[in-house]
Amino acid sequence: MAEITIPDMIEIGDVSTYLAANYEGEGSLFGERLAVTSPQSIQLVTDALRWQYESFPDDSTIRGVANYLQWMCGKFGLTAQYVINGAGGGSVIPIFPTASPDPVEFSVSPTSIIPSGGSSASISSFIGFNVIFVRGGIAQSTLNIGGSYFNWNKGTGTLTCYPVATTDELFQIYPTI
Amino acid sequence: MAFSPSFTVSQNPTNPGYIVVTDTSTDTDASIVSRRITIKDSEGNYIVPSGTTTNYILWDINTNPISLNVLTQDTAANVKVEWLYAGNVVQYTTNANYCFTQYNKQFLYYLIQLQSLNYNIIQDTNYWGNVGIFWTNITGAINSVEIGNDIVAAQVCLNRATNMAANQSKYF
Repeated sequence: MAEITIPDMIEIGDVSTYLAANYEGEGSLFGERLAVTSPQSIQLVTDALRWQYESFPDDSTIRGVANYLQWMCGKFGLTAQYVINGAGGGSVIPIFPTASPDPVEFSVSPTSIIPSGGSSASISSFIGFNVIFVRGGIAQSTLNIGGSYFNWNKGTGTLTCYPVATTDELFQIYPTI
Repeated sequence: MAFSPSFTVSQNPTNPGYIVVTDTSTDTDASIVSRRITIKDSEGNYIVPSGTTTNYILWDINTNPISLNVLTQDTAANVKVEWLYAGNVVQYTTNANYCFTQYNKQFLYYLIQLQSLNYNIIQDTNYWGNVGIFWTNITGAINSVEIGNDIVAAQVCLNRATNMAANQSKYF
């Protein structure tokens, strides 16, 4: 996991301050509530780190103080990262089965997707999917253990088969998640 | 375009006794032959480097920026720069208030850095409360100048912080 940069840690400290203050503030309505480390303490250490970093960004002690601040921010630090960056860890676009492209089936010929004597094809509609490659009714492996096998690049949608295609072979290529 | 006078001032973090004045004026005026800097503290005293016999500091027109050894503690001050024609005729003047806080900022960081290595110190009697007061005085001084443009109020804050740092065995 990437280490939090010092400027990011300073920003997290700034955001954590008001998160901790509001957390404590809610206690006045629903009973006393105190953050493990007070918002004043978080802001104080944040300012000390900020001022030192502005003057001495290469100071070898800064990382230790930043780690100390991260500890002080606690759960508010995690929320602060969300506030600053949005949802952490990026996002995944779900692929629905109904959106999967249709399988590709063909009998090898001089004009098929993989022509007679050829070994590769680009199937752009399959980009991002894994594939099941069935050759002559036999599911193929990507491991070369001496027989036929294939390679699939899901980033470019390129399928390469070994050995080369021969006329009238049945090729079936199924996209899968 | 007419000559537009401006300058910036910063405190040297490595050597907080020094301030660095940089001429950021735009365009030129060929008649300008010299510059001078006047620094006044919150009580109206002139601040000059040791050995200077005038209330101002001569700033050679070919030198930019200029580093001045004028501080012995954190100080709020008014800095004025004048651009002069021949015969010491002041042609352009601009000034601004500044809050120099490096001494106390660095002492605060020193406290926090030690604390990060020995965080139980926060439980010592009055320790954390005094750190809070120290920090508040630095922040108050900065706000006095940046928001209130008031170097007198700023200096009062700075003096409190400076006193605490000078008597650290008592407060921390």
